[in-house]
Amino acid sequence: MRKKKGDKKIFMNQTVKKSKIELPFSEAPKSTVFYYTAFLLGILQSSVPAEELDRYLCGKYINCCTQITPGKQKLHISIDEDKFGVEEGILSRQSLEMKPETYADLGASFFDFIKQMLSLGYYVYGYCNEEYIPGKSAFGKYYFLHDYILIGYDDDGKYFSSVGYLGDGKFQKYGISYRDFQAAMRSVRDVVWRLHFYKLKENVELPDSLPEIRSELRDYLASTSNRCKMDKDCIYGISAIRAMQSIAVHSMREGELDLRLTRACMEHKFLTHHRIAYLHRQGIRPLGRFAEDALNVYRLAQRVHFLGIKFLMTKEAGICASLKDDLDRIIEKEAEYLPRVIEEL
Amino acid sequence: MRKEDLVLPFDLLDRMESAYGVAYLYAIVKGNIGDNYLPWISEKYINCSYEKSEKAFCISLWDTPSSRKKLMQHQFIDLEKDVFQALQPDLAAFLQRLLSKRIYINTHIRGDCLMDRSNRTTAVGDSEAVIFGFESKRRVFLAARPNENGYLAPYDLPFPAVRRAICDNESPNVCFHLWNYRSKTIPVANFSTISAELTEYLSSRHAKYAYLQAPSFGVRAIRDLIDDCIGQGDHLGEPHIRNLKILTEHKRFMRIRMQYLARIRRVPPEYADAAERIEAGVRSAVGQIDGRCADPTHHLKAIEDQLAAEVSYLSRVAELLSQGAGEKGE
Repeated sequence: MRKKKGDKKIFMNQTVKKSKIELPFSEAPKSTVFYYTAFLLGILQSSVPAEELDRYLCGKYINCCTQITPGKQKLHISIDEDKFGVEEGILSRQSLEMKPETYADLGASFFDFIKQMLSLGYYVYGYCNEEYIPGKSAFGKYYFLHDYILIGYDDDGKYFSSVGYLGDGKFQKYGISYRDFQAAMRSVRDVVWRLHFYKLKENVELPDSLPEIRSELRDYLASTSNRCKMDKDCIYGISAIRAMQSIAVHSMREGELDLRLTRACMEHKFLTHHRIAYLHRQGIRPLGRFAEDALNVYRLAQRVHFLGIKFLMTKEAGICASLKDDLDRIIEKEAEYLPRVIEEL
Repeated sequence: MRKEDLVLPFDLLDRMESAYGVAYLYAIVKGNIGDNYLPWISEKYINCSYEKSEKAFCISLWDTPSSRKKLMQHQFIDLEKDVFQALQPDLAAFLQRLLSKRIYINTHIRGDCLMDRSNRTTAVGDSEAVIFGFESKRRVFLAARPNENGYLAPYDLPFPAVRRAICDNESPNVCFHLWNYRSKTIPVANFSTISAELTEYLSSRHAKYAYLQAPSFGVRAIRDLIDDCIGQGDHLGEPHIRNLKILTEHKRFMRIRMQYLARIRRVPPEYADAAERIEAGVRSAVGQIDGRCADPTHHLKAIEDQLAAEVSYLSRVAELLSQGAGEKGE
């Protein structure tokens, strides 16, 4: 039988007929500061009814934590170990952690493996060196091992479809040529190449985490975490916002700022507002008066992030004091209205 | 042995009845470096945990394949069976290629595909096993897994049965742990690490998993295990007996550790004697319980007494080892 264009021998006894595939993925996940939340939400927002997703998000990302060890300073808005919803039964996961040559021993090259899994409907998650990915901040400059997600490929154009941040600071869809991706992988210094394959489970019902809102909010206000703990250098809850403030102010005095700190804070407050507004809208609790408070806090957090951006552009010393003041107000307002939300709940 | 045959070092001499992962790793390390394994084992398997709801007693809590200690190169495959089947790999050839690179294969294997090498009977039930070699003339892989008495034993896995053994068993996924012993690695004991681990064991905590509320750790874990067993009264059966056997392995490792530390004069010899007495005491009590004795509670209390004796001497050992922190052994 004659081979059609696009047929390519992939495995010993099998061919992949599709020359092009792109899996559904929202271009605007509700949180993008860290890829793990962006990836889960990008998949869910493209495939799950908005109402169901809103209900799910209502009970998620309530508590937060700040890592304080120099070099690892981050504000995490997801403190769950199960960042991809695997334990929750939302996504299924399969994994390969092998040397490049072991992929070949199994019967396919690393790249064929990726394409085969994409054609079976699996999102591909792994780590590559962004020094070889055009458009990335590190491109052509320095070794930077970072996680990636692949949502498709195009054999005609010879590129993989991905999503993430590029050097312009925007979260977006973009293509990586097969050649660049190969270079990005071949320069990885780890001996083992890790691949995780995720797929939304069929007929998935997002778990109902509404009952946990109250205890999570209590944890947040008490700066504790009963749900889970990350590393020992983590500060939880509202104190995490204070710790993030301290890190931001300290680094601004040095003329620097990691915008992920302010973005994480802004997204956390967005999700808090989203939660309270949803609960009120659904009539689950009469929380209308608090939705206004949450919105104000979110606006302050937006302002903090914009101040951060402005600081990096202008390096104006006065911005640091404004940013600090705004974060003080966020903490003050939350300490005032969130206990009343808990009472209402 | 034919040239095409290949057998990686794997020590089957010890009558291991511990959890699979522990027994396999122990057999590989000991098989590769003989008595040089002592510094390694003196740091390993000190702490333990007990998950009451699952009735699971565990003595390997962290760095299970010792890859963080750079002793093993660890690779991993975890694919759903449908996906794995879609790849249609030539499994026998794949396994041979791995073995030729000195890679041990740990995977779930269907029991009736494995033939006991001593009595030519098939294994009972599916279980994890380690494949450590092959013989081309007989067309078999050499594997090891616990036999019906719970001891690690050698089995043959015929080439033609490989696909059925791995793809048609009770496990939902095809999962391989691939272990490559780094031949140039000779372990060195770090006394401050041992001291810190012993302190955690004695204080019933585990730094890495401190957030977990469900399992108990260290001495508390053993007490919880015993309490759970006592609660069963005369109906004590599996998995409790298996857990108690794992406890005897924990005491075996403690005895080996103390004998090594005494030999290199880091602790006085009486602590090695104490560890030996405690192991013997626990082993005897567990043997009685496993033999379906009339009064298991009496023997469980005897284990508790041994535990009290262990706590008493280990705190002094931890203190001794913490002096000169950072020092390393042979």
